[in-house]
Amino acid sequence: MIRFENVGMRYGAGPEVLHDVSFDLPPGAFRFLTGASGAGKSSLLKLMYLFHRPSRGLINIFDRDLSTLSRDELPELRQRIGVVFQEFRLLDHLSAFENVALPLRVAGRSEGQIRKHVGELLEWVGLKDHLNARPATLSGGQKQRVAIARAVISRPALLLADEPTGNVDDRIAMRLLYLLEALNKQGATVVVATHNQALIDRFDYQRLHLEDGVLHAQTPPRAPRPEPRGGGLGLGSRR
Amino acid sequence: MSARGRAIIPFAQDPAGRLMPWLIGFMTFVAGLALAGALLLHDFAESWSQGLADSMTVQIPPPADEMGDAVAAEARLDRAVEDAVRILADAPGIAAAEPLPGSRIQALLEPWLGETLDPASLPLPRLIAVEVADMQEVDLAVLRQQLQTVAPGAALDDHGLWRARLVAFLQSLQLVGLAVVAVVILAAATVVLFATRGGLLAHHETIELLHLIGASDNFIARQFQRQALRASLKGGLGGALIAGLTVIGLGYAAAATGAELPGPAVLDWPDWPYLALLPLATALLSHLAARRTVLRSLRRMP
Repeated sequence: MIRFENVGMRYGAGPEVLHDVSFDLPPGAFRFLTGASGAGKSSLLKLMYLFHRPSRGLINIFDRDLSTLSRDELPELRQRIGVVFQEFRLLDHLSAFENVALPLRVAGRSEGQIRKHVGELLEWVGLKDHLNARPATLSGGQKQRVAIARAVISRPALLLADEPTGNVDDRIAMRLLYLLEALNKQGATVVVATHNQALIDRFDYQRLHLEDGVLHAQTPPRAPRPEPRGGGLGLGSRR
Repeated sequence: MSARGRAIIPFAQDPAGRLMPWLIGFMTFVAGLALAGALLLHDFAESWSQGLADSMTVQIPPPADEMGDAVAAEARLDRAVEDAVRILADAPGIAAAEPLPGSRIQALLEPWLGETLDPASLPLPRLIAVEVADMQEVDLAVLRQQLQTVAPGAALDDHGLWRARLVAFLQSLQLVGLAVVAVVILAAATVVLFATRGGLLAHHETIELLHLIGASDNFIARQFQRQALRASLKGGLGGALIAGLTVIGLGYAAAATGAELPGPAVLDWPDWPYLALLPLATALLSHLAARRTVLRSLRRMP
């Protein structure tokens, strides 16, 4: 799915923020990307969602060598990647429905498909009564679910979440992780960047740990995760 | 535009975007007036050129000894005019030849000689107005030779030189008008270019997000193209409509003065489609300018 080999990255002419990063991510994997603020988690995610190119090293995504890809080939790959941004990055002038529909519109799906899938997904994340709500009128948790719905609406093979629990309380953060876990069980490869150690410790997934731009050995799973308690997110199968 | 009628990129929030239809409308109005002027000049040139091509003037000078015996000289001049008229009337391609009465000649000279001077006291030439039926059939060289035999010193003016100069002058004015049209349309495209650049900056985050969810440059460019097309059509059609009404109003105002105009006061019907094409041309150019600007800018993004 994803392979990094000795990847380095810098912003413009600035110092290198990632040094010799190497790892493999098989299809269907679930990984936490950990590290303190400024360790390079967001930078590594930016490379993974093809927002930046590495300054050195090799990146292979979906069996495509990034260094050989032209700019025109990137949109097709990006459509296979779903991203939940730290600040959600919802478009304030669009309704929840239209925000979630964006990836489908970009992919050129028909209006009928869009109405069907977006409606189903928003119902699945518990927002069927907020289809026409603007982001400004939604709570933090609701915005987050809209952002997640937008990230998964086109059934991406790779789902990346950048500090998705940063703006919500622990209860909602747990629900979110159960939701991501459910998506992973449906086949998506998931990478969640977070520095919320307490939350990570409740799951037994492997971690990619960054320290000052250096990726350390993947740590083994720790304590078993707790059983999910009902969260009202409707985590049953949607397909 | 999305299914629910809301643009993916919120151009309505963009001050430059809101101003664009007004600017393009004003420019199309100016371009419309310039184009109407150029078309009117074209109609003028055709009308005048045709009018001059259908006529000639023969000028017969008074005899040299006119000062010696005025009555005899006048009689000889009358005979020369009669002979010249006969030659002209018999010549192929000529429809009619009519000597200008003395009063008409006096009226023509009055602006130069004033009212106090009696033109009859001057040795004035006689003029014959010639109406041409078919210029192709007229042999000017033969005609000039024949006129010389009955009226030595007679001059046949086919208005060719005057017509050529007039047409050249009007064509120059037409070119100036068309150049104004071209400059204004290019200015409108430049307005779109800067508005698009402003839009790219103002909506940078939205564009970045669209890229991240897999939007191609063409998809993003299309959003700007549609916005430019809508704004240009809205402003352009308004500007062209007002320009058209202004041209009609000016035409009627000119006609209402009762002055004898040297050409048509209102655009001919075949000219109006050109004016109608103006907003479409502006919209097309704006569309292309927006596309080019967006694609060039997006190329610099990751």
